[in-house]
Amino acid sequence: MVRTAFIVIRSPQELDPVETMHRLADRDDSTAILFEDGVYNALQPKRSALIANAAADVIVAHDDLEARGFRESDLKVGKAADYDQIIETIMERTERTVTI
Amino acid sequence: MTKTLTIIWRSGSMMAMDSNVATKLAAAALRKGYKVNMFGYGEGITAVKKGQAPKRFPNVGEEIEELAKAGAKISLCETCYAARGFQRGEEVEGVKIGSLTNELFGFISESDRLVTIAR
Amino acid sequence: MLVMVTKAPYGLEDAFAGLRLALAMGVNGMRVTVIESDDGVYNAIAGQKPEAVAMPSNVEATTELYDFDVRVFAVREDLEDRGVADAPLVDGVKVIGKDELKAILEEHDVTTTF
Repeated sequence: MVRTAFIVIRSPQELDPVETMHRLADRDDSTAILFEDGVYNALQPKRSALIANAAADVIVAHDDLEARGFRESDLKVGKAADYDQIIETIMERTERTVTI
Repeated sequence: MTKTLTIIWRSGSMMAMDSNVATKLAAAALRKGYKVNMFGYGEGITAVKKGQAPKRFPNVGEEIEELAKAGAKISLCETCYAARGFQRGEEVEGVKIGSLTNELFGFISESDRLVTIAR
Repeated sequence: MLVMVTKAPYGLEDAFAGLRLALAMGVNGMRVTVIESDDGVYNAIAGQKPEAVAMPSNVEATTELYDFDVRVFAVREDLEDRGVADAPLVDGVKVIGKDELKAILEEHDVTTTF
């Protein structure tokens, strides 16, 4: 089981999540869950490569993506998810969360 | 045995969507059959104020009241609440004015997962 | 419980709030660790005078934790990045390398970040 879910709510330019993620967990033990402006981590080419290198799974809040004018097909990494799927990830597919 | 999620939220009622992320996570967890605890800390306590009337934005106070009705246990830091001039009775129905030492400790002790929503 | 303190003292209340949360868990007998990282390492600098800005002391909020066996760590690389690797630190704060953080996280089921 992937052990740590990293919660990211800020844009990568405001707060880069990647260094903290690398410090705390190996890529294969990490899932990134992107909310609010955190979704830009999965949309920008350079940043998406960096977060893909820090987390084996990247999950993007679908409503935050849509609100900002993007669709799942715009994601450079990861997949869009609704809140039920995000809760499933937090409760059943990871063992703890770390908020960046 | 039913798993329990505790959410600590520390952002206020407006100017960031953080509190709304917290309430949406809580609602989804309840829908999926989990027990849910929520604890407001710092600026987060402003989200429980009764009578919020945002013209265009989601009403996080009403969302919290609905979560309490749906079975979420919701509490907040009394020191933070008093510091901002809030009085007992100004909170929406179902919210317990509490403390880190009692309510939050209890919430965390019974939790399988803890999520912090803050910036 | 692991409490991550990532913000500097006094300009923001977050670090103090994190230390108080750690205390509240510690007094109840919960096993608590505090990691000061990023700008959070500034909380470890000795000689703070919070009375200059009429704020409560993050140093006292740190040293009170020791009565309840709460461990407090500051990350060496973040001290170095800020040019304070050689500065005197608050009594009892232990310096660790960033490569030690994974093992500390593994010791804890729940974490929160300030």
